Amino acid sequence: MRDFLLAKLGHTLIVLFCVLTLVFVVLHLTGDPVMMMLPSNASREEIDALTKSLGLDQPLLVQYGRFLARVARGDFGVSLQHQQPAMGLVAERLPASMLLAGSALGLALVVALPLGILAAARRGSVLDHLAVGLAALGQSAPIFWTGLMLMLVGAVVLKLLPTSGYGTWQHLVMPALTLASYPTAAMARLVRSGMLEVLDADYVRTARAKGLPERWVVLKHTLKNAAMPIVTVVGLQFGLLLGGAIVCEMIFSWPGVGRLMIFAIYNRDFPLVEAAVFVMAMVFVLGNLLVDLCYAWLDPRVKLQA
Amino acid sequence: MQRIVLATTLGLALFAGVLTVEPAAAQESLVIAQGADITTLDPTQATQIHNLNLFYNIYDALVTWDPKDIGKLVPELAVSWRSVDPLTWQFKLRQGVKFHNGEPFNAESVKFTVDRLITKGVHQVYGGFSTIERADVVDAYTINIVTGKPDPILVKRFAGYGGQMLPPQYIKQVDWKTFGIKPVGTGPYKFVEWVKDERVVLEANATYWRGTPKIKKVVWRPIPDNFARVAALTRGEAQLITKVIPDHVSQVEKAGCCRVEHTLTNLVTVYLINAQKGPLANTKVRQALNYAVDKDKIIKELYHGYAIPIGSGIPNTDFGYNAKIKPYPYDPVRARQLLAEAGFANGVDVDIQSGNGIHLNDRQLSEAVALMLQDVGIRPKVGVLEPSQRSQLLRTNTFPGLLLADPASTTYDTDGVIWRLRGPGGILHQIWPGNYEGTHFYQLMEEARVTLDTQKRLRNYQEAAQIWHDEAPELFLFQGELIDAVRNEVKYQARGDQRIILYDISYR
Repeated sequence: MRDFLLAKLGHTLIVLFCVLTLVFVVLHLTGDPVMMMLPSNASREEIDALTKSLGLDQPLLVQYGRFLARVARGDFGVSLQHQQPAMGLVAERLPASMLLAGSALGLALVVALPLGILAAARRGSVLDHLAVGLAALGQSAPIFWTGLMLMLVGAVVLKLLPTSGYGTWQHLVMPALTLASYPTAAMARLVRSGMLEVLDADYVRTARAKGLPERWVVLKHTLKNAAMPIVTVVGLQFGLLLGGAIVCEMIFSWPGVGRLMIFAIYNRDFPLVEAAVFVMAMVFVLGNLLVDLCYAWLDPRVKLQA
Repeated sequence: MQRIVLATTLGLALFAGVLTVEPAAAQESLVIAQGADITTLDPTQATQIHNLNLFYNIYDALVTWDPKDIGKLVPELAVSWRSVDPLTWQFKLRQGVKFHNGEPFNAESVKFTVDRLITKGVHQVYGGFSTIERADVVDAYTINIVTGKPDPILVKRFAGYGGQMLPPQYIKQVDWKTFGIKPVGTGPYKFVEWVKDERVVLEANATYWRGTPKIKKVVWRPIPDNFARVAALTRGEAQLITKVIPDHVSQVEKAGCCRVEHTLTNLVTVYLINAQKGPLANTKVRQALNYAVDKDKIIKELYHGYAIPIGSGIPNTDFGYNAKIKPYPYDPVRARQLLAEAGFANGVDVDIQSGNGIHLNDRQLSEAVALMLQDVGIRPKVGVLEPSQRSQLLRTNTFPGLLLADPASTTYDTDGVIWRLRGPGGILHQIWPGNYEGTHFYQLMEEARVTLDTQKRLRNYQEAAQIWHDEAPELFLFQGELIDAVRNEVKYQARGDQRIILYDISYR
């Protein structure tokens, strides 16, 4: 176990280094923050002066070296647009992102698990067709469309919920529903197909032959064995939902990391993008670690080895 | 059974909770929704309108624009001003004004502000004040501002961004970073709190020199999505929203609760033409582009009529505008003829670059223009740029063909809209040889830049505007309108300078 965790830590450092290097290179090669900071009719003199004072006139390698030295000390620098420490700005938004991603994922699990199980257990029934149809709809509807439709119905026509914003549970309902639509559909399909695969297995037939009640067969013997791919997807989905909720956050003006990051990318706010990407990468890495640990719990045959 | 009762009770409780969301209308407070959150409250660190709107209410400047005649100066913290000699402007300051922290406003505050403005490389508004050499305190309420060369628009510079007067003692006490999140000004509204990406709250300054503002509390909310902003307005969650897109106007009007307020701004939408070499270096080709595009149709179809066509890059709001210059008429036959005369009877390849969402309907606009150019035998290639890529191409003057832009002058002067970009040291100086040193155009613009004779400046600019029209270094499109929307109970008029001045807003 100790070796496993140490090896994982090593992997994590390598992954973070690669991600940060990639982000640094892509950002610096594709845009210029100075032009985005200054008014559109700024003169060359102004542009050059600001470029110099930000250290952006130095060769890319020098800038990269400085960047790595800063990051090694845990300092992501000051946001160019906000003039505030970049990591602090990301940290401020993290609770809102966690809340939204967590709610969406929770909602997805609560709906997808029973739906997938029922659909598999009653294969070919009306319920199965309905579940498959709903899943196809959930996966194919673009998130901006789902979000705007929900807003139109829930806030404008029925006047039940606030149109956008943050602060109360009412504000959370529509963004969470919107964000949950895709993972719910994806997971329901995965649960259904995973269950169907296992339901035909020998040990399930044995369980039935022993005269166990069907409910017991499905929930105890089938679900746990079908859970491996679901756990993998849940682990990845959390990371995706946390950083990938950009459209949802824009529509419902949710103060999350995704929205902060997209404006930072537009403006080539280097320190802010780097800090946000670092946090996102950490979430993915930790998510994967949790998934690995879950594997061992779900399947005693899996040994955690370095 | 128990479960059903429990579920029903829970459901009803949730529903009741939901129903209490409907916000109560308070006549003393106002919620304004803009498209983006502010990035700072330090007025030297941002120039985008959603930031400026906060600055104009927390701070005062020496002068400001007359709301009925934007471009005309009226006093704010300066009571009068005059040119003492060609290099010196003297301002007499308003007495008895205090910053929100109790610090007095006087000539030292102005000197501190000017010293900050003319420091290069540490903030974003230097360019607006680069003609200034220094500020000399004459007495507690008189200050001289000295320029390197005569600067006829020096006073106007203080009405635009960066002109907000700063509190020296407070900034020395805290630091610039803290000042950027906890600002202190002399303006009609005091800063209360800023929860990033959620809200900025201001409260009325009870001791404001013009009298206490009518609305006591103002909340600024960032709502990036255009539809969501309109929904927030019609739901009553916001009383005023900015940047309504023309497609949503009918929705606002149909709601019954609200109305749109619109007015012409000084933003001109044009395609910059990179005329350094190739076919676009030929004036006839550039003229052909201008004849080939049906501006009226574009304004009607893409912008629902919220714009007027232009014949040069100078809007009718700016000093130097020449009313005799008419827009190029839509004349595809003439366009073909000009192309043939230029030696391109078989057509010519032209790149058209724009963003997707940087300017209103930009991608659609480029596609429409491309179709019209195709009709006269031009082979357009439309490219979509991400904002920062676009800026980099601008900076290096390396964009091929046409690039969509909306230049504007913050001083409402031809110098700002044309010469700051095209003059020596301007970011677009290289892309058209017609503005290089030695040309008549160059001479007219440079003369006007440093003469204090208003009539001569006007003559120079009007003549330059004619050259600008004839030489067509841009594909001239339109001067746009600003569209805001408000609840019916709010007294509000959109301003040509796009500013939201809370002091002038009240409830009916």
